[in-house]
Amino acid sequence: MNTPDPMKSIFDEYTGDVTAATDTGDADRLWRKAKRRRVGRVAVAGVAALALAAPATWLLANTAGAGEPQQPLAQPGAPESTAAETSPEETPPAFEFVPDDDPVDANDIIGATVDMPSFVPGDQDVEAACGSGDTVVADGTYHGAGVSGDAEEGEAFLLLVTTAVVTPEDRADVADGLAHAADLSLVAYFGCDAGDEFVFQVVVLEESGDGTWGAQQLVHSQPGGTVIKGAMAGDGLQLLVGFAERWDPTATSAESETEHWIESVQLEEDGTVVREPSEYDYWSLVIDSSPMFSAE
Amino acid sequence: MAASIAANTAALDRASPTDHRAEFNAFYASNIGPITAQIRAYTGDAAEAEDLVAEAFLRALTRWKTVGTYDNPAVWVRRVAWNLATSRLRRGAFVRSFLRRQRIVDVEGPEPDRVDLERALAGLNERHRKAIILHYIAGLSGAEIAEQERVAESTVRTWLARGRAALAERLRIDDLKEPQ
Repeated sequence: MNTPDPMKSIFDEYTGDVTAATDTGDADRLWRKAKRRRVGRVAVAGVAALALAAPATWLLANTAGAGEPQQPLAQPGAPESTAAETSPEETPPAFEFVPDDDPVDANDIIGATVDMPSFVPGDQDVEAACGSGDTVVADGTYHGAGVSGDAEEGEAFLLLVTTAVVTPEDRADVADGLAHAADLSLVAYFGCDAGDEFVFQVVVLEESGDGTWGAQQLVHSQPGGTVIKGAMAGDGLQLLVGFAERWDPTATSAESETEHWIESVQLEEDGTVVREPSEYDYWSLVIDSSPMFSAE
Repeated sequence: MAASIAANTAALDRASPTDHRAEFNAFYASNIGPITAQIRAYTGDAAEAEDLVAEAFLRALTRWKTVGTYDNPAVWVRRVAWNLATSRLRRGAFVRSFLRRQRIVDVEGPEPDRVDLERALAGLNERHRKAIILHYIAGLSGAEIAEQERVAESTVRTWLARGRAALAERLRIDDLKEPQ
């Protein structure tokens, strides 16, 4: 006869106690919270759309010779229109919340496990510092007002998540007019403090179904060389990636201007990454997504 | 416990496909307790565990149309909750929040046995602790833990054996036998 495992009864008792003490009936609070989060996302998406549309319009106006360049202005009213909805602990459930109409955003990736590609494939120093494979992602997103999530040396941190046209399927969906932004490839921009310098990569994320994410690397920064500054979807939803030369600390002030540029990046049928110079001037778009981790 | 999760998801199958709300609420009610127990055992902090598990369920809710179609959505929620807990543990957030909450409050304290177990678990190596909790509270086999943690099954057996031995010492269990 097998001896009963004494641990089992201890844990069974513990689980029973904690389960009994857990409030199992208050899902309504979660639904209210989900609604507020959704409204918040809509507001953020509105601001992001303005940030994208306004500079593009500004660029268009400049290239058309429309006179003195003017800084884009936020359109009054648009973001505020959702503000009233974001407030209070509303009365319960008389709302239309449809699960899953939210796009994945940074909150879904921060704290999640990503099967992270090596930040700089083949670079053993970076690999030793930042690692690869299953990685719990830290928060490096910019919160505004000079504040961002904080990441420790060697931690992979998320800077940005967006959707964009990357794969042949994305391009076909857009050509057919079938694509919704949320259906396009999910692109993430990650960074890591490798000790001597920050390294960055842009990847396509794919959910594995068990709460973890797979990732295919599109571009990465070069130690001591090119650094990635940000990523965004362009006017045609194509993926734009901003690059800069890495700042040379020995350069004189006259030489200290670093070059910045934007490339469009996509995947071919066979998985090849194709990078092409973009028509956008770097400074015409607000593409810098790593202001607190400047490395150029 | 694995059986109870399977039974819990059977409730999903019976729910009307259009009734997301009822479906999710049934799933939530069935799984919130066991998952909270796992995270609480891992963190040793009831309030933090409730916050983390609530966040994991919230993420499931906002994507329920997708997550609800998985064979076992509870596995998804559990994984997210564990990830969040690991992330916060490593960043020392528990220490900070614990210090913030150090006020005198007149509430009924936890049972001594529960405190003893949580203290004993807190003294284990993180991997050993996780393996022990996944085995004894989540009801996962060594093979299932190995698959989730992406390590060899023999590694999990080692973690469990060392975790059990350390736990037995801390809980003063003298007659611990390796389960057959």
